[in-house]
Amino acid sequence: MARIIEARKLVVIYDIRKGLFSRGKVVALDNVDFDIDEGDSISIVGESGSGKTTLGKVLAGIQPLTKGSILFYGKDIRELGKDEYIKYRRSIQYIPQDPYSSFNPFKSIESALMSVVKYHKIADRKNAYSVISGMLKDLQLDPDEVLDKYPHQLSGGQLQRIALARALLIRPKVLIADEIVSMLDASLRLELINLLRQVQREYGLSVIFITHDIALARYFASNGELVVMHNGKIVERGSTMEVIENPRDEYTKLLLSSHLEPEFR
Amino acid sequence: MSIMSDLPLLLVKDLSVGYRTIKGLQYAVRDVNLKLSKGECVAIVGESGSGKTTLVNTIVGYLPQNAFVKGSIYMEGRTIRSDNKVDSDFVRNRWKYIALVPQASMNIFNPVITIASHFVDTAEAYGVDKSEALARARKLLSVVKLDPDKVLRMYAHQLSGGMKQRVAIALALLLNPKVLILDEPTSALDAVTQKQILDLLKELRRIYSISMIIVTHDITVANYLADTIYVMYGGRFVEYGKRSEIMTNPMHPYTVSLLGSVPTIRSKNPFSEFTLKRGDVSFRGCPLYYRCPFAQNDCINTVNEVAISQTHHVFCNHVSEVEVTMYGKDY
Repeated sequence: MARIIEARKLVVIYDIRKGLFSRGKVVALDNVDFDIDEGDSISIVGESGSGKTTLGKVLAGIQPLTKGSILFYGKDIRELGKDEYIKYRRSIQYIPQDPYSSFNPFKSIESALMSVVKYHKIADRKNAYSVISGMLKDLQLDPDEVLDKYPHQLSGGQLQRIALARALLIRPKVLIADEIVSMLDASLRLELINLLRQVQREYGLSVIFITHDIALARYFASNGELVVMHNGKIVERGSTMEVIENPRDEYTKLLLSSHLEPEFR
Repeated sequence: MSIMSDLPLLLVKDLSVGYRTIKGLQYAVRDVNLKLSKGECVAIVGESGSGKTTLVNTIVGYLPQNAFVKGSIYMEGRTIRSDNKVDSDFVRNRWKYIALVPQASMNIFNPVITIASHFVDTAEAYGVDKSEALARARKLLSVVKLDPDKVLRMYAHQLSGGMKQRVAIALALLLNPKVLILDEPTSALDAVTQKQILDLLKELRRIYSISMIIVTHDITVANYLADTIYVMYGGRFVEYGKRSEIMTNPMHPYTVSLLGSVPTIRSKNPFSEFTLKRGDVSFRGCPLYYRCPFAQNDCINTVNEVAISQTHHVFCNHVSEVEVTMYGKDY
């Protein structure tokens, strides 16, 4: 399997204001190494402030690095030519947590998706509609029902599937799904994860699933890898079952013992 | 005296709550009956829009102007609400009877006054003087495992999410209420902090035997804390029973699907195969009518309450079919 992303010694430091005049620094990522191979299923789990979102954004190229390097198919992204850089950015798609704030509230779903098709020259004018409606059908949405709606007229689950469609239209190699189910009701969460796994198979994607819920992390990457982050560092990484059954790191153990396992008997 | 102690601490009877909107009266809660005994912990579990927050807001009496209420609420046998009329003594002394930790408890604090002032202001509103209020605040803050000397001088933004939730619980206990209601106490917290808060609530129950109502969307939270679980869907209770009855022997299709959607780490989820189709809430008859695989024509008109045991009730016309499908004929 080819290696898509090889990230080494990633450091991200945010400047923050502390009070009116003083400034402070927050180390969001602290010497993190991260690789993505073709077809990977990786869950990243950690509490808020652990750096999981920053890592996702850095890998997608939408958050500048303070230090470190990211190789895209073996080439440093800072040395890529214009076309290659566009290819890198298109290959890695990031889906944020809140679909209501990631869609323009004044644009209908049709025009939101159409602008993606136009910008990335995915299809010509004649075929654009059929490409979009085909993609929506793949995500179990009815194009006639959703295309003329505005974001606020749709439920969180529908809108999150449209966000998936928008990312998939660009034919990426890697999807970075950042807490995409945390806004949804419990009964819709597993449904969306199942759908994510289905499109992963169909489109041959690598998926990075970022969550704060270790049970959801396990559910998504049951045959993949689990990465545990804490205070900007990766504290544990391994095959999901191995990490769940034999956690080595103290924080992973704490996370597992804090999980409320239902008692069905 | 014996009659007195047999009375439930809180009794909600045939309660319906609607909001007057431009589209007419929209019911958020319909025909709800709920009982809380002394020392008991009741959990109300439901997804967004199920009416659980409206229900507890009605119990406490925090409703907007356009709300319309039918039904009654009794506390130790005394009527505290009958339709739209709320008992005036209850309104005046609300916090002594029932304290609510609302859903957005992260944002309930006034940002420009210290935590100490929150305690003093609340107490003074109920005629408790400043030194007494501060003494109680110190005791309660140590009960919720915070350092009073440090926290009392702080402002809300200096506290972490978990600390704010602890302060909110301490503040709710300030006037020693008979009932503590917590609306989504842990939904904004990470797993480790969630467990700490739930363990704190468990300890409060064990040491002070506080009667509680927990509102949550997460049935594992209910399972961890509650003695009795009420499952709510589309403004109605669809099933209620003892914790173990709901968790091991759910009878309503909605409860089964809710349990089936819980991701597990170690054990296998026995209900994960069962899923409901998507659909709207039915406002007539059974709220699950459009989504339920067992629904038949009679479900659109009425729904019957069936007693599985003395404590376990389910609102479904086709319990026996559910039972055969879920648990096999020999069950």
